[in-house]
Amino acid sequence: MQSYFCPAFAGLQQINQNSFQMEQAKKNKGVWWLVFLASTAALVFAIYTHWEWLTLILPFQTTAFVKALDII
Amino acid sequence: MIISYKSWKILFLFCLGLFAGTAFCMKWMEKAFIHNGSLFTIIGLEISYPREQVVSILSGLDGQVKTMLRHHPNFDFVFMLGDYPGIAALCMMAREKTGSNILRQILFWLAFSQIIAWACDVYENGSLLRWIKGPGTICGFGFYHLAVMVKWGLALTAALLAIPLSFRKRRIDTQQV
Repeated sequence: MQSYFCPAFAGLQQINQNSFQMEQAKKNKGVWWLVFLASTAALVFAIYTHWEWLTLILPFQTTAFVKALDII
Repeated sequence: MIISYKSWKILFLFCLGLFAGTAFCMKWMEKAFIHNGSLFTIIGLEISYPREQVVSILSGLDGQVKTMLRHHPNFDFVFMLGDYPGIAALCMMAREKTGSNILRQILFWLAFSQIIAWACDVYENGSLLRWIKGPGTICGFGFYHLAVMVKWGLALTAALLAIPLSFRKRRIDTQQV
C-alpha cells in the first residue's frame, strides 16, 4: 500500500525483490552444480570399478548439467 | 521445467539411433546361442525358462558361446541408454499432443517411471552376467523374474500408449519455446 504514496519505496521494493530472486536462482544453480560434480565423481568411480549401475548415473548427471547451465 | 517439443524430438531421435544400432548387434549375436545343438534365447533366459533349464544352459556352454553370451548383456547396457530415455522422450512428445489432463499426468509418470524400468534392467543384466561367470551362484530367481516383469510392464505400457498418441497432430496451444 505504501508504494502508491512513495515511488522511491516502490522502486526499493522492486530492487529488493529482484535481488532476492537472483540470489534464489544463484543458490539453485549452486545446488545443481554440486549434484553435477557429485554425479560426475560417482560416474568416474563407477567406470573405474566397472560398477554395473554406472549407466543409471547418466540421467542424473546430464539433468544436473543442463539445469546448472540453465538450458532447461 | 519446460523443455520444448523439439528438444524431446532431438533426444528421441538420438536414442532411436542408439537403440537401432545396439539392437542390430544383439540380434546378430543371438544366432550363436546354441546349447546341445539347439538354439536358446535371451528372452527365454529372462522369462520363460525354469531355473533348472537356466542352470543347465549356463553350465553347459562351450567357450565361444559363453564369450558371446557375456557380450550380449554388455551391449544391453548401451541399448538401455537408447531404450529408456527414448521411451521417456516419446511419452513427453505424446504429452504435448494431448489435451486431456489425466492423460498428460499418466504420460508424465510413465516417462518418469522409465528410470525404474532401467534399474530393473541393470539388475537383470548384472544377475545374468554373474550367473554366466558362475552358474552355481544362481539364486533369487523369483526377484529376478519380478524385475524382468516390472521392466517389460513399464516399458511396454509407456511405448504402447505413447506411440499412437505421438502420431496425432500437435496442439497449437502447447507449443513452447
